Amino acid sequence: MRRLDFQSWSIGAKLIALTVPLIALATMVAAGLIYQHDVTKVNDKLEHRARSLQHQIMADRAYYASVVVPKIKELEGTIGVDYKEVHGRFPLPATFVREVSEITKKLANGYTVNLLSPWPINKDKGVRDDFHRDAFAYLTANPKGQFIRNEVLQDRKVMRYMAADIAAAQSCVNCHNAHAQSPRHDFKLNDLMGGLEIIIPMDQYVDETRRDLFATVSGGVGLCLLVLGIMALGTNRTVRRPLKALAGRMAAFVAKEDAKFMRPWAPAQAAKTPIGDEATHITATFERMQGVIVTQQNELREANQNLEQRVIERTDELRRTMEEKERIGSELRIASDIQRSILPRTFPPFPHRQEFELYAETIPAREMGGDFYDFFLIDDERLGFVIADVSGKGVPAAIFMAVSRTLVKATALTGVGPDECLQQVNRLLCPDNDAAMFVTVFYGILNAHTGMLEYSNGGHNIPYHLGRDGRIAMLEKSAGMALGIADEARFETKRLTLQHGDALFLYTDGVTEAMDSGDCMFTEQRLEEVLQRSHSATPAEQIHGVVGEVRQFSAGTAQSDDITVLALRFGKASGAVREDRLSVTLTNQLTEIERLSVIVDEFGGRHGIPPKVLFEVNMSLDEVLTNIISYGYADALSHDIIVRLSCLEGTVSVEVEDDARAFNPLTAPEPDLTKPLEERPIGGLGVHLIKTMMDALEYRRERDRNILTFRKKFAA
Amino acid sequence: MDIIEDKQGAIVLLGLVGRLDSGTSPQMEEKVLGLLAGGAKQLVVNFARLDYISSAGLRVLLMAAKKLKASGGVIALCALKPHIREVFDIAGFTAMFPIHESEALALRSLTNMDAPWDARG
Repeated sequence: MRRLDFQSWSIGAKLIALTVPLIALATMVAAGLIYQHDVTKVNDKLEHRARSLQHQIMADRAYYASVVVPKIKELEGTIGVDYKEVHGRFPLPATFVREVSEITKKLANGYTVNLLSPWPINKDKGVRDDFHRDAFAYLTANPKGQFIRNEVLQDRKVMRYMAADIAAAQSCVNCHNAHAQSPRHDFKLNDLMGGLEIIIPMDQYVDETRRDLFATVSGGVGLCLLVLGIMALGTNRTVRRPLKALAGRMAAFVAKEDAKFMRPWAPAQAAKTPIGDEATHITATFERMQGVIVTQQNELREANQNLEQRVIERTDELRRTMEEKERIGSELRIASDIQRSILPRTFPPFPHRQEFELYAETIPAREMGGDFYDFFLIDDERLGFVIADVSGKGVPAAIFMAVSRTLVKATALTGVGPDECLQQVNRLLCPDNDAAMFVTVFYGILNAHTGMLEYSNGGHNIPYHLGRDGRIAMLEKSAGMALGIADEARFETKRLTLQHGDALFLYTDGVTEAMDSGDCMFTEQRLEEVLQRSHSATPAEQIHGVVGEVRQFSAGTAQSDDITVLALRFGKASGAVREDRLSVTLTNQLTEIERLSVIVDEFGGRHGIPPKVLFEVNMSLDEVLTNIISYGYADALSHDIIVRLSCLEGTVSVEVEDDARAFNPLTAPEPDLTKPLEERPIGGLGVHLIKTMMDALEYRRERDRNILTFRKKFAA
Repeated sequence: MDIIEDKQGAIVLLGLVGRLDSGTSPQMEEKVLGLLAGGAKQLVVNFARLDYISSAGLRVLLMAAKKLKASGGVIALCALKPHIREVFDIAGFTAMFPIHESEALALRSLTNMDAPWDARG
């Protein structure tokens, strides 16, 4: 409470400032009222006493005057003022009263009685002051009344009481009238002769009432002080301290939050302390806090909106990226399909040529591969065959692969020798080779009539020569590096004559460098072992064997490089009755079904299979392939499906091999044709058709592949 | 596959050319649904130039038949080649569709609704 303006006092002080004066006022009023009451009570008491006294005195006098005086007169006594001196003289009634009063006056706090009159016999019993005058004036008008006044006489507070002295007895009247010194002689009975004045000291009563007042006021003051003390303490603990703490916390909050802002909140206002008590202070702080919170909210809202905007933008971006990805994915898929379809995938490729047997397979590591194989008839006698490996994998390698393959085939078909071919291709590849890619190539030409083999190698893995007696050896090396590196590279042609039953095995390093889960490589050694075991098998069987071994070896690991193999046998396999087999590799596209049906019809034509049977075979293949292609794959990538047809002793057999998810059509439920049309994965209808049309239907799962086989006898 | 469309009064005629397989059946489905949406109630499908049908094709025909039946219409097939006919037999479809030798017979059967349809003939 440093300032004088009430507004800035603390709440406690304000409370005290309001309460205590009230209490004080109440006390004052109470004291006043009590005092008033006391005074009235005292006055009444004294008046009552004065009246009693009056009656008493009047009665005494009346008795004296009416009983004693006549008796005296009877005894020939006399009444007079000089009764003390004269023998036989007795006091006047008035004297009697006076003398008695003198005695009582001497008592402590005793009252004084005066009989006086406006017409006194005794001169000093006359009207002496204003009180008497006023009293007589009053009593003349109201003889039955009393005139009372409180005055200070001789430094003492007194009550002066005057009652009319009425001539009650005739003797009084007579006596007064007869008295020589009486100023009047015409008194009658019941006339006002004078007055009886009683003076009662009030000192002690005044003192008493004063003491009471003092007590009341002191009590009030004490109470005020007590209340003041309690309130001061009380408000301090229950009001001031908590409010101060609250204010402090709020201010701290404001200060802290202020610091966090991107834009400081009205810093100037923060420093000002408002004038007022704790509540005002808190209100002000609260307002600041409110401001802080509102600003925070606004900033949050803004930030939120920004965030939402960003989210929308990002989601949009994401959506566009996804669409782009899908687009690229689908284009990649198309490119991959194209690439697969570029390489010849139907075996035997030249069914009319019995002099040799040929099979090849390529398994890219990614959607697009960099390896390739190729074969073509240069002329009636000569078969050209190629295996190559482009540096790298994926799309760049695939593009380079396509270019290289085209160049090699085009150049080879002109009929030049192997070394010349590689040379020409090399010279064509080198100049436009910005990406500095290269390709290893092995190119061989087999004369189907003579068995003469001419070959040239450009940095590729040397193929194996499998003798019909079971010997395995690598072909003789031919000098030459990979194509696309050096313009002036030189190549040479080597020659070798194959015997009937000899075979060649070509491969890329995806075979020998295939890794297992322990990071060990497949190696040439293992390859040789596999080849050894299958030396009398057909090229297709041999390749399936090798590929199977490599797959088993590297099971569990991702394929690191493209795997490509080509097997060529000169002459027929010893002894075995030839089963005419057709192997077609398809890509997982529904359009392939029609392409296959053309090949099947051709095969059927060659083997005299009746049209109806061919129709049923094609229909069965349609069903099987549709289901595999439509429902078999979880991804959107290219997959190979191999269909093998064979014809033996009047029975046509079909085998479909795929790497789709495991599904056994034989366990599919039989269709309920009365049921409403539902799209079922294998379409029970399809299987039903196959089962009805074909003689047998078998399924097996082998090494992550579905193999479905069906057969139909067409001739006796 | 080509679908040749024609009208004879309230009857819609569809002539199929080529193959009705998994690749071409969506085309057929779209055609039929379109006709149904347009309010067609009587449909005749001519198989004279259809060389091949697979189960996908059979499904489309079944769907067409069901939908027509639901809207109170009818479908009739005609001029099936022998091996196509055999496929229908195997699939049990012969019992579900009115199959006629020729288009003329098919039309007659639809215009004369009281006459029972001729499954074999």
